[in-house]
Amino acid sequence: MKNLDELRAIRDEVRKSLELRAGGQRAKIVVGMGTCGIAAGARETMLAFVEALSAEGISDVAVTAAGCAGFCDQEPLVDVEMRGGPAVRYGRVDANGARRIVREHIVSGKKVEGLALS
Amino acid sequence: MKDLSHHLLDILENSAAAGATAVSIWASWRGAWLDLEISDNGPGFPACVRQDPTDPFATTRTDRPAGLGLALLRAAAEKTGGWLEAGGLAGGGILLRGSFDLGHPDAQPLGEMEDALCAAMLSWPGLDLSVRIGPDQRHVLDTRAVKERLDGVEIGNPRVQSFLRRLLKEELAPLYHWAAAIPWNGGVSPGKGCRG
Repeated sequence: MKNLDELRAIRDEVRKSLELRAGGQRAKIVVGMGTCGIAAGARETMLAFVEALSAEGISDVAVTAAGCAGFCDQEPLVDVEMRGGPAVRYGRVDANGARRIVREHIVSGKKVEGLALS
Repeated sequence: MKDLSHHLLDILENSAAAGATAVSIWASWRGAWLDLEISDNGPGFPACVRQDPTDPFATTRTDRPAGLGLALLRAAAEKTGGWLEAGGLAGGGILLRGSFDLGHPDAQPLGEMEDALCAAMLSWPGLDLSVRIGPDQRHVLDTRAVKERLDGVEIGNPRVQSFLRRLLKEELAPLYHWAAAIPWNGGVSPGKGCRG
């Protein structure tokens, strides 16, 4: 692989940004990435979360994956856990839904009505 | 699954769920045929599915009696006249090998392989990926080398992922160029269609 050395500069930028936001993670976003989730578009949903967080300049939110939760018809399923708050489960979250969740739930702290299952 | 890159992500999910820590992927081509070889260092297929891991009713799942991932990939290969075989490695781990005729009208397109690899790095950051393409087995991704340079910064960091996605798209260009030259790839007729 070429250009990997550029990663060192990115690493230093990220470290600086994390130092500025010392205090732990604000939230965790868990995307269902089982076979059913992937077939329903979970990959596009996950990458939309990463892009939306990046666009908002947010680096203290973790995006991770879980397996099939058994509600395959509601995939892509997404759980959002704000620090100190209850987890909210969202269903059928596409890329637009991901952007709404970042804007309304992560940034403004409000559950996204119409997408939330719990 | 709408394309082969989604199947790849599904296979990586299987490896991560089985406890593998490293997966090696080699995608090569000859004529219109895509040859895929994937191996991991997990525990291998358990006895209950070992006879035919691509059988949808042979599964390790406990919540329902079917697992579709490998069965769907085998179907994707076979509907092009290709094949998929899944077995165990002598030292543990699994080995998948298959061929897909991307010139076949029923072939699924490649899809965005860089998106599958980035989603895997985000989803299972502890799973190391080694990816080679082409007959010359050129390395296009080695997450161990990436992590070494990141020196503690998470591989799933959005800034890091944005860079890796762009880099991988460039590195995978020979694979995309090969596929784009194949008539029918992506389900698109090379002709002008009925209105031509």
